[in-house]
Amino acid sequence: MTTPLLMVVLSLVVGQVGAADGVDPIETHARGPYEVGSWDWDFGPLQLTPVVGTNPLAVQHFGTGRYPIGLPGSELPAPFIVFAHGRFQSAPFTGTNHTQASYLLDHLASWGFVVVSVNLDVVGQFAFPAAIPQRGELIHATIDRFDDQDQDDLFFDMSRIGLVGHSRGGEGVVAAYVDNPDSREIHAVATIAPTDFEEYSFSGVHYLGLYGSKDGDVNNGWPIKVYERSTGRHKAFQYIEGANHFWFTDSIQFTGEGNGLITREQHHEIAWTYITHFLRETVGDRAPGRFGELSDGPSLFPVTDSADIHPMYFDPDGLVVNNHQQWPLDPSMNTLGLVTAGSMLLELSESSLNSPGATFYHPTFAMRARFDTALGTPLYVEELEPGTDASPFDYLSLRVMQPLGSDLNTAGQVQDMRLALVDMRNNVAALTLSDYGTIPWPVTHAGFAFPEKSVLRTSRLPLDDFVAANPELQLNDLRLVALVFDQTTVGEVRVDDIAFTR
Amino acid sequence: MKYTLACVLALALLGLGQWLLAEPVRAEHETPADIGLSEIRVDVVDLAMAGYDEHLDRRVTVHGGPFFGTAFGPEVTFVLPDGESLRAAVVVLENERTLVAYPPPGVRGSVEVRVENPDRALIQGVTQL
Repeated sequence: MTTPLLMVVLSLVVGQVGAADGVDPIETHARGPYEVGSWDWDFGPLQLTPVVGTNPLAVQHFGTGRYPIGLPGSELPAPFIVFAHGRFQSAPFTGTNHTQASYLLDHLASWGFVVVSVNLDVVGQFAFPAAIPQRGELIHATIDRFDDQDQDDLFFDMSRIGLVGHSRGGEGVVAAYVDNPDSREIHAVATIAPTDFEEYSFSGVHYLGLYGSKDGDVNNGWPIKVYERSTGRHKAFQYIEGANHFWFTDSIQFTGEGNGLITREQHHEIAWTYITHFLRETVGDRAPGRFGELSDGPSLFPVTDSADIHPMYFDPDGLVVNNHQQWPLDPSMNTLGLVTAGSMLLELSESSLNSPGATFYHPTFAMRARFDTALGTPLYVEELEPGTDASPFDYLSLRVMQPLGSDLNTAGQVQDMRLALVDMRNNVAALTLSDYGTIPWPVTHAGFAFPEKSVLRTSRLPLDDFVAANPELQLNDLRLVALVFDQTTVGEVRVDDIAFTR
Repeated sequence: MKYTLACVLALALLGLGQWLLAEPVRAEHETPADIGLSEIRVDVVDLAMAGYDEHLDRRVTVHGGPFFGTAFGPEVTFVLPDGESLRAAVVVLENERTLVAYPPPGVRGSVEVRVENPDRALIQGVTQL
């Protein structure tokens, strides 16, 4: 026992190999291999379900598109992507907003996707109600018409449909997935700062959400709620420090939110990198299984040199140890129905993270741990089924946040912890979270347009590195997961979704 | 339960305790654009609206602006003489100088119409429903 323990201690002293520094950006940060062609299309007048009254809403069904030039025959038909823009109703009011994501359309086409952007401006004339279902209808009409144009499926692969939307268009693509009358094969939904007027819950589609901390328009945390209500498939979320709402467009500027703290070009880089990667993984040509690159890990960070991006990730095939959702709340029992226990903690409890007044926007529950190392070494333990086999998995994963307003956290300072695995023979291996992720101080921005938010962040610690830290550890014979709060003197964190994931 | 809990803790501390003991503790927003009000016109209508048992029966057309919308807005509210504020059931932005708003069914009499752009620029005027 002594030698392995010494190795553990030694590894903790000298630090871990495999931290994020020096890792290449995600591949899709670069332009894809294909030249890009474009065309504008117009299918004429169309009538949608009335938003109010009994008269159908008449719109002109038109938009723009991008396609890869020189796509080999083996790659045809290409995945079909529909983009739905957000609402910015200003002069000239109708006719232009679909052109405001050319940076993204071009990039997607360069990676082999056919992308069409449909104009939604007439629907957008409705300030309230938000006419979200009508957006979904128009998205489906777009799929239908292009399918009609390609009867032999030579160009558009309607068995691989992906939807991408910004703001109200983001909720519009969710609406198109939820209300899918012809059972279109929509396998991926990506949103940038979506609204949530209709509070859709949706299951069975891969989901990606992007959201800026300096969003001065959809500044009420809705995108976080949309992410939380997506269930059943892989999902990821990127909380981007300093990104605003409208710099995810080509050129729209909303004075009410001011400038982003990162450049508009960085907004574009981040959006095209993550969305392209996501679509390649879900409807594109990549072999499945690397969706997790969109989460924290050595292959993710940094995408750019100067943008801090905090991911969340959920693996539907993971082994959930504790998601804190069992009712009534009981901090002494985990999702496995087994025991949890704390030692030397000031407080161990479970509580809601759905409380905007407390800066929380996650409709979920989480563990609350408050600690002061002056009392001893703060420890939290999750019991596993004796002999749990974690070897099919790649990571120990969890979501953690620092809550704003805690008297135990220091403004501007990260929190940290160690995570330990204990096997049935009491072999212990521990890694420090900050070698793989972080628990950031919540970024805030001055002004009424920017309500303060405390947001969870996923960190994933490779199981192989636990074994490297202690080769005696038997991943196929585990007994406990432990969180050790000994990397800072005092602190308060919320922890959710402790799981073994791929 | 207590027995199990004790076992878990004991096991944890047995496994973790030695190396735990060995580890040291380480420590604007910009100014809203100006908007103005030139006319408020009220029309009698009969309009079905999902979510309402009664029909919408008044259409209020506001000329002024410039109005604009983002993911939200413009917000239109009807303030009654007693101070109660009612959100419009429907707001349609026809162009930057014209918007149409429907008060909730049955609202009558003198009301103050308030229109607020997303940048919080506000106009208000009184009309009879």
